[in-house]
Amino acid sequence: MSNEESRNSRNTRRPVRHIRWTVALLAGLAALIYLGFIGRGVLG
Amino acid sequence: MTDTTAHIDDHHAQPKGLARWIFTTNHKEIGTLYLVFSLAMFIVGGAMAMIIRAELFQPGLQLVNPEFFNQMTTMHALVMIFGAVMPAFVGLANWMVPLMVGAPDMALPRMNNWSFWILPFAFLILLSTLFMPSGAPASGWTLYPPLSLQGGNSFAFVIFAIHLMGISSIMGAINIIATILNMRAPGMTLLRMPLFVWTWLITAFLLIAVMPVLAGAVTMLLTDRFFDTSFFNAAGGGDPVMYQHIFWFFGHPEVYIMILPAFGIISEIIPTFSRKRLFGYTSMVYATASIAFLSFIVWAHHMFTVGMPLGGSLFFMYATMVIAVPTGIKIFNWVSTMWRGSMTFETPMLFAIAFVILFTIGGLSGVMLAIVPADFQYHDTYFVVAHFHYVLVTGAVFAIMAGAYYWLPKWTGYMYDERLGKIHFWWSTISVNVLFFPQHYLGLAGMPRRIPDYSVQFAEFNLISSIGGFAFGLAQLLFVWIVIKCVRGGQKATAGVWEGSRGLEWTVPSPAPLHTFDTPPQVDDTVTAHKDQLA
Repeated sequence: MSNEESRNSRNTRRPVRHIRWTVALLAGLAALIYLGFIGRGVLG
Repeated sequence: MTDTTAHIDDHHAQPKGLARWIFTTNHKEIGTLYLVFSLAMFIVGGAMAMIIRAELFQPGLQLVNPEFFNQMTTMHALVMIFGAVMPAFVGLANWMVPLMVGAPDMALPRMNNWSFWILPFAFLILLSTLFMPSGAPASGWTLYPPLSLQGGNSFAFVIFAIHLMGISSIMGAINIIATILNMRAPGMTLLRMPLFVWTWLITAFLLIAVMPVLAGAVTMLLTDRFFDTSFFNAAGGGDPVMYQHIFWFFGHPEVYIMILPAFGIISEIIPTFSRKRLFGYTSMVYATASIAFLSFIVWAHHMFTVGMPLGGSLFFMYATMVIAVPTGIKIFNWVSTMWRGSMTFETPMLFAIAFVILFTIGGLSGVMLAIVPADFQYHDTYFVVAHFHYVLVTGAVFAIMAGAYYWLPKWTGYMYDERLGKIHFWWSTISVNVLFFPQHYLGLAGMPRRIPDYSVQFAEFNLISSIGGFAFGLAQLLFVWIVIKCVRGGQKATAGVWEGSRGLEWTVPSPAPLHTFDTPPQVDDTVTAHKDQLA
């Protein structure tokens, strides 16, 4: 299989559960940063 | 099979009129909503800029009182940053990212609807403070305490509006990342993605990383102002300088949030009108990622005059200067793409070339500002105002203009009026330089920013700057007319629109149908590459 054929056959469409995980992780990260910075403020 | 399709179509029966726009979950319609909203905010923010330039037309106080002038500088910035530039890029992303990666829509269409519809309410709340007894915020868009805490109760509305904008941005960013990482068409590997998609992927990560930081900072302002906490109140054991650190930890990456998608647009347009592949595609991706990384470790260059240990000053100075390296790589690549290309100069290309030249001026004055001893002279002068307007107007806004002209035929199905487009370009480019270039001299001569009156020694350059400002404002009304004219009709656009265009978005008809890529396209090098790449 050539490089181009290999790239063409790459699985780029993911199942719906991957979308859910992406959203959960990113939203969790955002919440953590928000609370982390307020926590930094509380510590002074 | 036919029955199933009929059922699905029936399920998605389009509501008409206003309901169509309120309930839409279609990425193209939401993209249009974002772009129309952004245009409206450009006009509102532009009107505020006209008030500022009218007051500064000559020395002395003529039109507005100083308190209202301060409200105008603050609101102009907030409206332009959060209402005009950012939503314009999100609108372009909504329209183009699914088309470019071969996805049928964004990953989360209902959240997409919500992300947009939060915005008009956020700005209604923000703008309503202009009519409240204590007025709009007047402490500058950075909202530094203790000054920002000395305003009236309308401050609570400002903070609520900023929280809403942040929620909208974070939801939009999550949607874009989820779409790009999970919904690309078969064969659309990461390093085959158009540069606009790459820059937006990186920008979306920046948004998720820093919008919560802004939210945290303004939440603490809120509790300091209304709930007797002392996060930033020195008398209560707090630290006002900590606010500046937290704000700029958000604020500097924010600058890149507004410029990285612009880099992406320019990287789409220059190859098309040079009829060549983009020079150094991979290095462009790495340069974008490098700029994003560096944006997190330079924040205190906004605070040199506040005072910090020598080691801190040196670190932030050198780290800031290092950003010139990946940015230089990008400029080199754009110029190399044009080198020996079969160039034509349609309006999008004119704006893209102006971007490369004028953004570089803004970049170079940025390097000047990074030099600590020099910054002590330049800080809080009109030199800074000139610098960031070169970056944000001839940079971000010119890229938005370039993108709008480039994709208008794909959105509307009609070609825009090329003659009017060129008039708009030359009018804007000349007037924007008359507007902002003299501000470098004003700053070097010592004129402070955010003042409604000034010493007579600054009169001439302010007069020139204001004339440029009025001319630039007028030019944008021509842009509005060009867009309206294009939406209403004109020469029919083909699917490819431009002779040198390459990529999935140019394989669908113009105007792009409401639903595209229901069946995923198979992507290979013939779709994404330019002719010379395939040769």
